[in-house]
Amino acid sequence: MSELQWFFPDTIEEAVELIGRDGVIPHGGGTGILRGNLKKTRGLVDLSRLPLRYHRKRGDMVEIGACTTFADAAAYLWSLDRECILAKALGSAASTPLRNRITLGGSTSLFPVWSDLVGPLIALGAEVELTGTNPGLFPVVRYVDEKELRKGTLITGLRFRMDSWASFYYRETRTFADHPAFTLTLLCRKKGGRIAELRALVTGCTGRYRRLAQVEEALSGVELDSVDPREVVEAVDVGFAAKNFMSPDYLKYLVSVQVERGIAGLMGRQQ
Amino acid sequence: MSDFMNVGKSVEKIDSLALAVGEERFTDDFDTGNPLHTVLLYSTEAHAEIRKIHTAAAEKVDGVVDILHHGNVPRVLHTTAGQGYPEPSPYDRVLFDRVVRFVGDRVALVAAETLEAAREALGKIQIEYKPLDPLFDVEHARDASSPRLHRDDEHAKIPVVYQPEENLAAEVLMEFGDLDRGFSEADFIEEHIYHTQYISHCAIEPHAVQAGFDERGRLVIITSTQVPFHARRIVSRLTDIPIARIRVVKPRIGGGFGGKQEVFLEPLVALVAWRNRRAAKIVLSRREVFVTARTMHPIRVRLKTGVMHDGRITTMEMDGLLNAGAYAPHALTVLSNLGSKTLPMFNKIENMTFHGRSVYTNLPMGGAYRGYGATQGYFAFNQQIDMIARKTGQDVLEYIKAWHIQEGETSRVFEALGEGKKGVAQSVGSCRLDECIDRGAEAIGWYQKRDRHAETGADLVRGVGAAVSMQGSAIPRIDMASAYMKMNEDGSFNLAVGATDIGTGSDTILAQIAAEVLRVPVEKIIVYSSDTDHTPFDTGAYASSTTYLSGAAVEKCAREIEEQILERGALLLEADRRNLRLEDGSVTDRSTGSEVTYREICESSLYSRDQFQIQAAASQTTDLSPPPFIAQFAEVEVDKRTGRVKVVKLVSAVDCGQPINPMLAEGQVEGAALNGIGLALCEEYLFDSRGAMRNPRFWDYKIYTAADVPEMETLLIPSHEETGPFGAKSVGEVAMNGPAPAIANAIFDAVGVRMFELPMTPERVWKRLREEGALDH
Amino acid sequence: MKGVFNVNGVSVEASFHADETLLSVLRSHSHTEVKEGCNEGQCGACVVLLDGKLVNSCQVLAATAQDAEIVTIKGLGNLHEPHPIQRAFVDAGAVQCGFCTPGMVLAAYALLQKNADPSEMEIREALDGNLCRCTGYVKIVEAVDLAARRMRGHV
Repeated sequence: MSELQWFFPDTIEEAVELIGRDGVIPHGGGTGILRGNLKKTRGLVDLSRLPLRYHRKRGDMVEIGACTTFADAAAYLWSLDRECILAKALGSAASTPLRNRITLGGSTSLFPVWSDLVGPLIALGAEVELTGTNPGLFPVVRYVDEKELRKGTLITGLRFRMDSWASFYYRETRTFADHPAFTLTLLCRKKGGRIAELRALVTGCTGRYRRLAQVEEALSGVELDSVDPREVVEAVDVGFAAKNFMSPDYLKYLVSVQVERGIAGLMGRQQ
Repeated sequence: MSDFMNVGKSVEKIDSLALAVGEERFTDDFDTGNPLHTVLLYSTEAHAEIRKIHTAAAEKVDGVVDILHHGNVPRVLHTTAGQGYPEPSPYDRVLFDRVVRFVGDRVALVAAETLEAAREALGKIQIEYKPLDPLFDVEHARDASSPRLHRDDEHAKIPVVYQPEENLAAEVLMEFGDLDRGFSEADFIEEHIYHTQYISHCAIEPHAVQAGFDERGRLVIITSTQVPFHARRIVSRLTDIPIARIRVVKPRIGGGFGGKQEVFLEPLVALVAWRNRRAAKIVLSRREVFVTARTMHPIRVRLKTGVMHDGRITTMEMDGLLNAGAYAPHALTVLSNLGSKTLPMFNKIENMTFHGRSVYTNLPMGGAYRGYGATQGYFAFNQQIDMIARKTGQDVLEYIKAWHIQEGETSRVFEALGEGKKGVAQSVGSCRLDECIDRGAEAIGWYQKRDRHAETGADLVRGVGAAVSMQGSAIPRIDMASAYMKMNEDGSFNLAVGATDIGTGSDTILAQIAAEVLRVPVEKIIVYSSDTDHTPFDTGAYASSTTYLSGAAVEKCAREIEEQILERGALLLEADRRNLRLEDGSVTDRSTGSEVTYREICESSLYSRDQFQIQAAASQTTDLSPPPFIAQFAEVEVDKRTGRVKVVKLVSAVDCGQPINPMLAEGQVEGAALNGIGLALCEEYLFDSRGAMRNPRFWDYKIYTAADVPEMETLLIPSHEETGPFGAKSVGEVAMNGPAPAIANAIFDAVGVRMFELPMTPERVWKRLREEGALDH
Repeated sequence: MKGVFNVNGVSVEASFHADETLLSVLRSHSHTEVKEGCNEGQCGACVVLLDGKLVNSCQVLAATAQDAEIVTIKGLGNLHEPHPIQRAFVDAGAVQCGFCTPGMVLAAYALLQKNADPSEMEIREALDGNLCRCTGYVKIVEAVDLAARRMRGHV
């Protein structure tokens, strides 16, 4: 354990070369590393000297550096748009001091089952910027689904188009500062009295995330006034692992309830 | 009575500034000079024999100094319960045994130069287990077919029922009247079974012990304990180190709540230190605290009441089954208190039986926990009362006021149910419960909200519920407290007490009491506490004894000091002693107006003539345990579809006698009340099929943060307890008892379902709503 | 490995393991005012300010904190000149056992640096990473509010 070596690269190229070595992993905020164990780790590459803490908007594209903390990202996004789903999600994740350490890059690459980050990212159609074995921009959903894409790469940034979504974010917790048993992301764009587009995503379920495609289809193009949230939830199809602290059946039921409530809320109906 | 100088004032807690600036030291903050680091190896089996322990590889690790296990440590049966000797808890534990009895039981200890070396060595110890059938089900613990957990030479120290061959750790039976006739003559019967769960104290400071040597080779143990004197005694017994060679010091403690009323680490660390002539220490990890320290005993309570049409309860049967876990510290006494603190509340019941049993299981050990059995009993009692009141068409608050024990009254339970022996008859000397109920009802808006099923959203409905309880103040004829005081020539006083401030502020309270007697500001009292060399005996911080009993010892001691001051004052003023009184740091002659200052008195007594040290010592026991009373009210909002319960407001109205320090008294109520809400709604131990705890971390075992707390209102309703120092009783535990039943009653008020099991998680409420057909889908 | 840490404005030389946490390094170099309650980033007893940000020192690998400014509770005030927040905690009765207090005070400090006039909910949320079992948080929240008012000169 004391043979563990630290590296403090000044350039992204150096960092990528180091991470390519066997048993060497990147260190963003460190919270993910400390949750695991370092038995197989031979080296840690600290990314804090790299220019990865930026946040900016180019046109309607929001770009955030991989080493930006949840706290900084949430504050920035909130200043752009209080309704931004990612601001809501990042601002309620973990706890105040933990949000000062968890980085977007670290959290995306780890994608724990309790993630507050990945659901909104996928729903937003966000992209990761990678360097290393697979440089370039990739949809987050591909990064999450394809192990080969992740191998030997370093996330340098995330970006997404800031559209005028109405958003609903829900995290199922036992207390205020708790990791979620599941999260629900709903994004809705309305046009001409109809739902132009709906995106619905659950994380924390089996498979770690699930796009509620049937719900999306059922509501696409529907007139706002004739949306019946209760009917829609019959299309909700998610499963949960038995090892949760709530039973799989109950969790599944809760997802339906929250989808129904979320949609009703997006339609502007009283809850 | 209300012309107090210090009592009844929210005087600044004497250590709070030093704590707020980070100067005060807790056990692990002391530098004992390169101590050996001690770590423990725990069983991965719930029930097994240890066939072999291989330590050869571990011994070779660089820096390892000592390894202890059943093979090289004497087998001395004891209890780890911090109780007076002879303890009422069975002697069923040894330091290391050849049988392990729960996942988390101790198997071996490694002491090394560094923590890393100790942990590395720990990982190299190999244990060969022969698994035995585990026992997890309390209801079947005594069946002939169940495995036996204790069978050799375990025994009870006092004459109580202890039948380990049946896995029976304790049994208590109390009865009076005629139960069968009472039930047969009742107009109706209400019988229900209630379950409470395992919870952890979650003191933010984990258990820690440091043992070192002074210049003359005496062992000095610094420990995070509620019971320094019991610790000294038990360490001596288990290590054969004479008491005269042991000093136990309690520094600042980061919370106890009963979890540190145990002596289970000190003997080990002392043994390591003594054997190796080196300082040694241990600090438990949070996981170790959850699994291997102590817990609140889960209790199954069957409560059967025979009731008349007008609501009069003629007959009550309480049948308690307590899960002691693998060993049984406090298993008899918590069981006894389940009955003795709950059953006197309605003292006009003619026929009553209390039958309690504590049984062993291969699960983590229970211990002392704030409330001490009353909490579990009142969860049952207050719901039953709520049901009976509703059934007989009356407001439960009026019902309680009509039937609860009143000032001047007694209950047969007081005498019948002690702690391992007969109890002590007493009458209630002070009781303002009615006013607590009225003021609390007003604060929660009881009459505006009860039975309204007020809807605050499409699926949200509100309700209110109430609960009352009483506790005790010290253990009569068992506890003892003492104090020593001396005067200094500037008119200040040293006060040495054994009483144990575990964060409660008892040092301050006791200083206030002394300062009140001596008519000086609190700053003139220099408190030193809980050091077995320098302070006189005190049983420790438990049973809500500190204000009532230790406070009485301090008052008594201060009165003797007062006498000596007045006598010297009489000498100096050449006055009649009877005309003199203390006032603001002087002795004044009421008849002439002449006065002499404390400084002059003390200087005279130390230096001038007939010199002597103005000093006194006093001890106190009690024949009584005057109960504090509390009425607690909860307003909840239930999500009818998800079962999630949100507490909107919690009101606690408490009669603790004369509050010595209102701010500190409120603090005790607020902390206990929030702990009670956690018990009610979200804290629990979850086990896997092998008996291992699944959630031994704050990640998975949730306690509330400031962001979770409902509106909490605390009302102090003073009474005057003649037998207590300046009228005080106690307040440390009682507020733990009401939240769970008040919330359960409020849930019923909101959605019409009864919750018989704790915690009332959203899923459990949801299931009950479905069972009762109260959900539309 | 060896490194230098800047704690409360003072340079501290330390030898430490590559995988050692900042909490461990601080405590073994005389900064026992930083407490360990859980070592999993949940209880907040170990929080410090790292370059002005509130962090759980048990979740920070010491090697990465070498260039940073670290402030512990002792960096805010002392017995003779306590910080107004420390004074407010005392006055409001927010200190019982005191084990969570350094963390609570630092969390309050971090909040008031950003928001000098926080609402009650904002105070509660700023303390969502600090556990207390003694107080029920009632007087802690009152203390932060009192500190805020005093620091704004309103009391």
